[in-house]
Amino acid sequence: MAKVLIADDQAKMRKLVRLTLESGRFDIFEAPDGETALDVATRERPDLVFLDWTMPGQSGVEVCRALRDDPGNDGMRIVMLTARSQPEDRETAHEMGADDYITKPFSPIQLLEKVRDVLGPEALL
Amino acid sequence: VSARGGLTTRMVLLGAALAVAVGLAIGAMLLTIGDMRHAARMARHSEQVIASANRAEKQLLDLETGARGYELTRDARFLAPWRAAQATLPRQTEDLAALVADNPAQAALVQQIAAGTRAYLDEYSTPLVDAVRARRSPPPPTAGKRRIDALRAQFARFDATEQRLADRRRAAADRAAARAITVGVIVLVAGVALLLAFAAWLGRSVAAPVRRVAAAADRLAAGDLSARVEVRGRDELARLARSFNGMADALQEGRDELDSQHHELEVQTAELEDQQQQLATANDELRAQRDELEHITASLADETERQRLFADFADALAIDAALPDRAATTLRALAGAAGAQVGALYAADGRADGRHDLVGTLGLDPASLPARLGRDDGLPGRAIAERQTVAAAHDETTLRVTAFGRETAVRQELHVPLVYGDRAVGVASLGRTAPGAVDPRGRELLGHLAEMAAISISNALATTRAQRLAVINRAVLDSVRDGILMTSDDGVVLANPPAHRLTKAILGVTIEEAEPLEPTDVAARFADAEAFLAAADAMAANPDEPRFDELEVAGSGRVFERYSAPVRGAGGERLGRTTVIREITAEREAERVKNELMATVSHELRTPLASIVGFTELLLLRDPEPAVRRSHLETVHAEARRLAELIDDFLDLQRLAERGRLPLERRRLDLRPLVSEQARVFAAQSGAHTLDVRLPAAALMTDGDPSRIKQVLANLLSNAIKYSPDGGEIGVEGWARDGVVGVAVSDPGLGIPSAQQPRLFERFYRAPGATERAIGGTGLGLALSREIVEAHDGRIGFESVEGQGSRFWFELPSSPSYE
Repeated sequence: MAKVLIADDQAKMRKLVRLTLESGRFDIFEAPDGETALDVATRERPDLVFLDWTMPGQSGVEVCRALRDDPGNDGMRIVMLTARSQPEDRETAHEMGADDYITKPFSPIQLLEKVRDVLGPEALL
Repeated sequence: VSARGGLTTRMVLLGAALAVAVGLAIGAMLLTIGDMRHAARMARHSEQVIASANRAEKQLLDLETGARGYELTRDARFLAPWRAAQATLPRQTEDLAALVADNPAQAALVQQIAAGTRAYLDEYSTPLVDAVRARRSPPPPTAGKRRIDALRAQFARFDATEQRLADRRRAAADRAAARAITVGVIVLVAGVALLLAFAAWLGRSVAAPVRRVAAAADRLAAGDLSARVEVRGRDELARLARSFNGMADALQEGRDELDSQHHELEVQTAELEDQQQQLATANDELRAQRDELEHITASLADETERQRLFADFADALAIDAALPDRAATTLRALAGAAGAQVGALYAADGRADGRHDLVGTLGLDPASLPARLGRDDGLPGRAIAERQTVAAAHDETTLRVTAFGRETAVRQELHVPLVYGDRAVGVASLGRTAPGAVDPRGRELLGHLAEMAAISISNALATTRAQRLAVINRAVLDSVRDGILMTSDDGVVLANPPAHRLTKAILGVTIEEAEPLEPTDVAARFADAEAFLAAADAMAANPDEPRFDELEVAGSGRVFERYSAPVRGAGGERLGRTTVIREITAEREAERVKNELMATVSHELRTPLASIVGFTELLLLRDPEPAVRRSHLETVHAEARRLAELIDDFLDLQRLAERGRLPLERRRLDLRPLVSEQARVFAAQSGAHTLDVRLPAAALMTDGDPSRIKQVLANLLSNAIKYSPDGGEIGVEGWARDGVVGVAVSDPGLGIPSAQQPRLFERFYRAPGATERAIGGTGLGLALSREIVEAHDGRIGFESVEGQGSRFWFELPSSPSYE
């Protein structure tokens, strides 16, 4: 089973993503801030990480950069999931190493499609 | 017989002597008349010489005025007289030389004049015309004026000499005529005297002896013997005695002879009278010729005077370049020509409505005249419209004007339009205090002067308009806020005051000090020196392209917009570049704030929307069991409420921005239940915080809008929780004192750095830690709270220490009935 980490300071958002992915198919981990996200990622080496941008402590893009700097995370897919919608925000995220970018609000179907794109169709079977 | 023969001989001799005397007298008279005719012819010759000289001089003046006129106006019309004069002047001078060939001094002077004229033509006039035609700078007009003056002086000398000659010859003619009359009278008197002497001689030598013989005969008949004594001179009594008849016949013969001689004398006298009559006729003829000569001389002098008048007028107009001076000169000249004492000049103001402004007066108080003239305003308006001189005569009482400080009757008014091309550039209104119209000569002169004045006034108007335009341009440049400067190859040629100020602000030096600076030195002043240098290179490479650049000054952070474009002259030639500099620091800052706000608003709205969209879609997709469904719906509901509140906040602020004041629905209320309710709501939201609410037992009554006050309380409580990320106790207290009721919310949170404290109530202001710590908010809460409290005539404030927490409070006026 693929491992998915959801980092968002809002419990409602983490819950929404978890419910969308249907926990039976993934091992789902949650982190309410950047530090926790890095800890969990180092411990669990998830296949896919959803990162909110505005979190207490380290911001999502900072976490993204830190994850990419760690060679142990080779092959990890990172998707930004944020309410920041400016074109330059997308550029920044890309530069920091994010694979994809989803703007809030998002549709659960759209989220699943992204997961399939990033992890491959077999991840959803 | 010997006595009779001696008598006849003597009588014939005497008659012959008389005839010789009369013949000599007539001969003398004829000689005198011949002299007189010769003198008159010579005088006429001199007048011809003067006339020829004057014609030559007029053509010379045509040359000068033509060339000068062409230089002033570039109007080819002036070249026509110039060319004509150039063609005929040499022939004229040759004729003149031929006329005075008999007078070596005058002939030399003519050669000198001819040489001077050629020199003037070759060295000044022709080059001047060529220069004007080729639009080169012409030789100085003083050079031509000097030559012309010298030539005119020579002409004057020539004329004077010839005039003196003519005067001398006329005087000689007069003297000859007088002599002829004198000789005639002498001849007449001498003839009569001779006849009387002859008669006396006859009486004494013939009749007396006969009477004496008769008496002697009577006496002889009476037998008087003393008769002998009576005839003692002669011894011819014997002959008388021989034949009395023969003696009587001899006597009769002598008397007949006398009669015939007498008749001859009478014929001669009549002949003399006839000759005298002829003399008188010749004299009259001479007088008529002299009168005619005088008339010709007078008209020649008049023409010379006119030419001088035109030349003087042209000179005066050339000297006075300004419109008022030219107007005054024009009025003086036109009034002089028209014999007018007062006048006013109106000139076209150049606008399309064809109105004319008063630009000069003569003898009149400008305040007593209309300052402006409409298109069809009275007689002057008609003169303008018809481009014809309009005249009107008045009696003593009709038109009275205040002139020269007293009231004067104008007997004739004259409105002369100044027409240039097909346009009336002005009108001169002239007033004559003397009755009667201007003679045709005066009108013709007026016409010529008006033509010259029209050109000059038109030029002055154009100059005035150009000057006015320059003043307006300068004023416009000075009045704009942007810095405008123009540079050419010679450096900065124009800079308005903001350009000086902005240069100082950007470069730290004045424009004059900046000019010699190297581009790299200037570039060092800007945040992006390379961009500045690249822009300078691009401008040098494409001088025809306009350019926009944004320049940020290093250090100060001030931002300037620079627009630079080529400036071209009327002929398309490049004059330089104009640069417009505008400070846009405030605009950039406002834009930055706005962009930040838009990002914030967008982010804040998207966050609750994400829950709403996500959970509703899950509900639609999965159709979960009722408990889960309810939980999802509650989340959606709460987030929708939050979204609605956010939108309300934005709208409130929008309303504030539009109207300046929030609408309130005030009623008397107690603050305590509002505080308790909000405290409960927020206590439920955060598990990490505890709320300590302390309210007095007595009601906290005020006149207020409960929903608005609730909004303030919610904002303060929400801030207290948000900015205390580590949890802790939030204190809420209420009080009443001195006519006010108050509420305070204190937290143990981050606190506010003292440097940031003054900005706290600004709209869209967010605490520096808010973004990093992901503390949500729009930056509107406190700004809105202050608006609400102040709309209630209350006060809002805070105390805070960085790292130790904050205490926010507000006070509202207490409701009087509960005091």
